[in-house]
Amino acid sequence: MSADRPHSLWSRAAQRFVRDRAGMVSAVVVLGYFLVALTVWLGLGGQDWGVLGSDSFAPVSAEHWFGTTRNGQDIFARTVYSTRTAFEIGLVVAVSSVVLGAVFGALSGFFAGSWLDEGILWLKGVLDAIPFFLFVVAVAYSLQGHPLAMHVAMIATFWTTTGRYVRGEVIKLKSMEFVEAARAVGVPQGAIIFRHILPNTSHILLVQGTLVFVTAIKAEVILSFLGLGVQDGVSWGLMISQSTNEVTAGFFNNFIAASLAMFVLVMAFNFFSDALQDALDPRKVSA
Amino acid sequence: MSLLRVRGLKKYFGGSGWPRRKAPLKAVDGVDLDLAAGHTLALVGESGCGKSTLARAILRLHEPTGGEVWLDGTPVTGIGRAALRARRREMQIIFQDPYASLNPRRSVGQTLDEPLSVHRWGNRATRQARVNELLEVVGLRPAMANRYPHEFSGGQRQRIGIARALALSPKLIVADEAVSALDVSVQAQILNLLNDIRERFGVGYLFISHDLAVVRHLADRVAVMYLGRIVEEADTADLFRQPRHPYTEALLSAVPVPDPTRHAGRIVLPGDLPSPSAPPSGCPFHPRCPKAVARCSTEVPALRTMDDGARVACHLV
Repeated sequence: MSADRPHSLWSRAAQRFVRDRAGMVSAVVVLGYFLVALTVWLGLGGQDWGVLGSDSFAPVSAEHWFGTTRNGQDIFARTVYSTRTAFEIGLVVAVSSVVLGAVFGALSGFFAGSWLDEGILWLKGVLDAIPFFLFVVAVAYSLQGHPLAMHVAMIATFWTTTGRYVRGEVIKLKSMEFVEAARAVGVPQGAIIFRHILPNTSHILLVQGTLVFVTAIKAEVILSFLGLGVQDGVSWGLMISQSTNEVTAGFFNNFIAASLAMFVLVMAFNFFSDALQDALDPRKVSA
Repeated sequence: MSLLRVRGLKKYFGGSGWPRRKAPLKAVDGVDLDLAAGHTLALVGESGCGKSTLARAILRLHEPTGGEVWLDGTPVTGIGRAALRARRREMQIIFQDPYASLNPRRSVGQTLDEPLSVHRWGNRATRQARVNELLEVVGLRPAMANRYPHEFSGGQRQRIGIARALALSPKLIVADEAVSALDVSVQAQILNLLNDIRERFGVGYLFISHDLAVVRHLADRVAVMYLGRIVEEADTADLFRQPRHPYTEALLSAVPVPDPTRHAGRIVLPGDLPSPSAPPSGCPFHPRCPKAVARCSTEVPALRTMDDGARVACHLV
């Protein structure tokens, strides 16, 4: 602390993260994927994923980088477009379920032992007790095949883990003296929960966000494979599902492209998440 | 008129349960205290005797089970949540652990600004000036407002905690073991700071400590607590010269005397502090008291006022 320059916990975590090589490499890979997804969002790439070509099972060429499917669709365009699908699902599910988990977890932790806590714990217990795929089928059915049925099902089940972690952390934090100090000063209860306590769980939220992101992408693949997932557009799950007919005929391009794209992203995200966890560890922060 | 008046204050924990009602833990059991403005009342006693709970019950950080607290002639107990929040500007607290008492995610400036903004004190510019002023009062530089708690030492953090307590110019500051967690050299600095603040701003301190040397240095009056009750209260000089309650005698005998030729007869109490959920019959101190007589185990001694204004709860005095 040489100068009067603020060193927030965030800037110190960032310094630690930058020193983590695996973390930085994985961050670059994830960023690369994100840029691909961005080009699709901006309409600059992968737009002709649905165009039916004349030649089935075309090999890798300058025109079709990854070859074509049985229907003559360009596999590269489909892979690229699916990146957008994956990010869309990952981001929506991760952000929503983490926000939900943070709010419910904070409330049930702060009012631990009250009827509110009991109610939230009961809700968590119920949601955790329902088998995930059964739940997705039920939601998909009740929403009449709505394109967001899968999202809703994932958000409704994935927030519970975050909620549990946040609840435990809030119970620990609320008895600390800085919370008592805030009460002594007259800070209203809502501000104590959301301004003083919840920001101190941000390391949990961030890490949970990355974990849910990966889980959502993987779940999408399985659900799409089962026909419960993406209803419009294309995704890696749909590509793998489609490729089952092709693999038996000896054509692997579709299958490899989709699974490799997903594998690398999930892998990188897991490393990224690990590095983030290390960098944000509050025990290391205080050291 | 006294600044702080506490009458019959009680704080019980538990006492409910199903199917069988559990015995309540009587952490504070009928405490009367008075503190004059600009004075320091020390509250001493061993760990677990209810000192901190009493402090928090006075400030209504723990909701008291019974009794009344008056601050500056108006009641603090029996008022609603909004009224209580408004009154919090008059009474503040300094905590023991300087590492746990500051929010690690908020800069020092944010921490010091909070009491001001919560109570709508001035505008942004005047609050900023006030924060700088507070930092100077406690011996820190205004430029430090941008820093975060982990960048400070324990003593500096405690200064920040003191600045936060001072922000709204309170009349009463409760110092809950405010120097216990600090090194001896830092303790002295903080004690001097507390003394300066009392002289400059005329605040009254309720100073909770188990360190009798510190108490002797700082307090005008001392109350000795045992198992949730006051057993003796007297002016500091009187209490240290002539303790009247056997428990006070034992406590004072444990203070090291810096004189190798003087063999202070040390009184070692047998046993531990009894559980406040199953207090002994009669005088709560009788099982450990070297002077106990038959009457002590059956009859609770009242806290009686002596000729010189001291108060003692013992049948033998």
